[in-house]
Amino acid sequence: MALNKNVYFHLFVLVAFVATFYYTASRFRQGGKFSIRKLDAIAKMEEAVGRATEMGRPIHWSYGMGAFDAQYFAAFTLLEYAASLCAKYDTQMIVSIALPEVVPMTEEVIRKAYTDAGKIDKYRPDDIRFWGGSHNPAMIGTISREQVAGNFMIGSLFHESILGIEAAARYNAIQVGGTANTHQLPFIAAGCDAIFIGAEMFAAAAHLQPNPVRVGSVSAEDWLTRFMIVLMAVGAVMATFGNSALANLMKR
Amino acid sequence: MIFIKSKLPVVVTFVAAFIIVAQYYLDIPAWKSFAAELLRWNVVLAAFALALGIGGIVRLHWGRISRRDPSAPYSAICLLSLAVFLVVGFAQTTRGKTYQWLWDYILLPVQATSYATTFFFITSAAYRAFRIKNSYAVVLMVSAILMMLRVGFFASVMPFTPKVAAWVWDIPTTAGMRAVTIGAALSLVGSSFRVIVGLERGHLGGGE
Repeated sequence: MALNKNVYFHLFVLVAFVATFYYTASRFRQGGKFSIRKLDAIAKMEEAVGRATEMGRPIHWSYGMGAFDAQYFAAFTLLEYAASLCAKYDTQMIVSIALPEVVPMTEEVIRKAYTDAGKIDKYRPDDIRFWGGSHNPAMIGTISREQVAGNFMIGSLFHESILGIEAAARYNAIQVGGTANTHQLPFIAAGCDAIFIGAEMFAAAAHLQPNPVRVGSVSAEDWLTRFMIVLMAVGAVMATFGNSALANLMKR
Repeated sequence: MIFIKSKLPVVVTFVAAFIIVAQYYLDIPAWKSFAAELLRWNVVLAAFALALGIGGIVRLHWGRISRRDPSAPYSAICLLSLAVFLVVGFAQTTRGKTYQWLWDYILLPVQATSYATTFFFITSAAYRAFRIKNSYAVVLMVSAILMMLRVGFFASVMPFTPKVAAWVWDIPTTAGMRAVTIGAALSLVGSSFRVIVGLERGHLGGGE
């Protein structure tokens, strides 16, 4: 098999992740314990839906305008949670979407939440709105017209984060943001009431539903993070003494 | 029906992802070119999804018009614009003269106008962010002031500010951002792996 010689270390990380994932998942399945830090942003989402219910105003959701990547899958888990809360309390949730391929998946996620709540008759496909390239002005218009009581912006966010957050701030909406795009983190940190920073967005899935698959994934990520920290520390010490063996090894 | 809705997407996802991921680790030119071709198919799939999205837009705005909603005139303009762009696009392709005119003299100015409003949103966001309500806001405020003082007139009268700002940027900011990037990258791997092997199926309306 002709392996690419320049990515041996990348392949090692992938294999290590898969092995650790299956090991930690099987341990959890056999009754292993797992604890995850309480995420304030999840509690804030429930608070936002509760407030929206009391005020009789809707919740707004946007994934941002970034390209379709794994952040959307993390967002789907949180969307399902938000939709299940809205279904439980009979609160309207409007979803603004920029990418067409996300529309059917969003419909499935929300339909499932309403089905699980036994309220499929309350499911409104019209509230899942595809805006395409007009996402930003349409989102601002929707937030302003509907005077939303809660605004969740979770996904691959770019400059639209500040537009949505400021539009919703005018109506004193409770806001929760989350992204792994570091260039937007300062904006959502400044504007939102609670945020999911990078990996927290992915860990939220295990927090909401700690099953072997999600716990195994989060545990494997934690173990690999620790491994990376050790590599960085050892590499820094070696580089300080003029030895670049580890750095060279990681380049392969 | 259940196979088409829940199992087939998982199989297709796994096969497509395996081809794309494996080309990164394998040094086989034919495999790489097939993977590149597969990525191009994404455009075709997105076009089908676009039709679904357009259906949603028509349903929403037609509903508003038929209910005689107060926003019905705007919905009518939206549907009319959609129809004009579609008809002209199909008749002339997107390189046609009329289509280009519509694009250059209507769509682009409207988009530029809406983009320009970002200025006002960022200004009000900065005002809200810099209000000192807790210790984190103080750190944010001091860092932001340092960044503003590192250039122009202030840098010439206070020559130490560019050095302090550079230190803030290079050491604590970079360290924090790299920590977030490494954590998020590993989580992206985990999340993608779960989807690729079909262990996470929430987006298909199922669980795990």
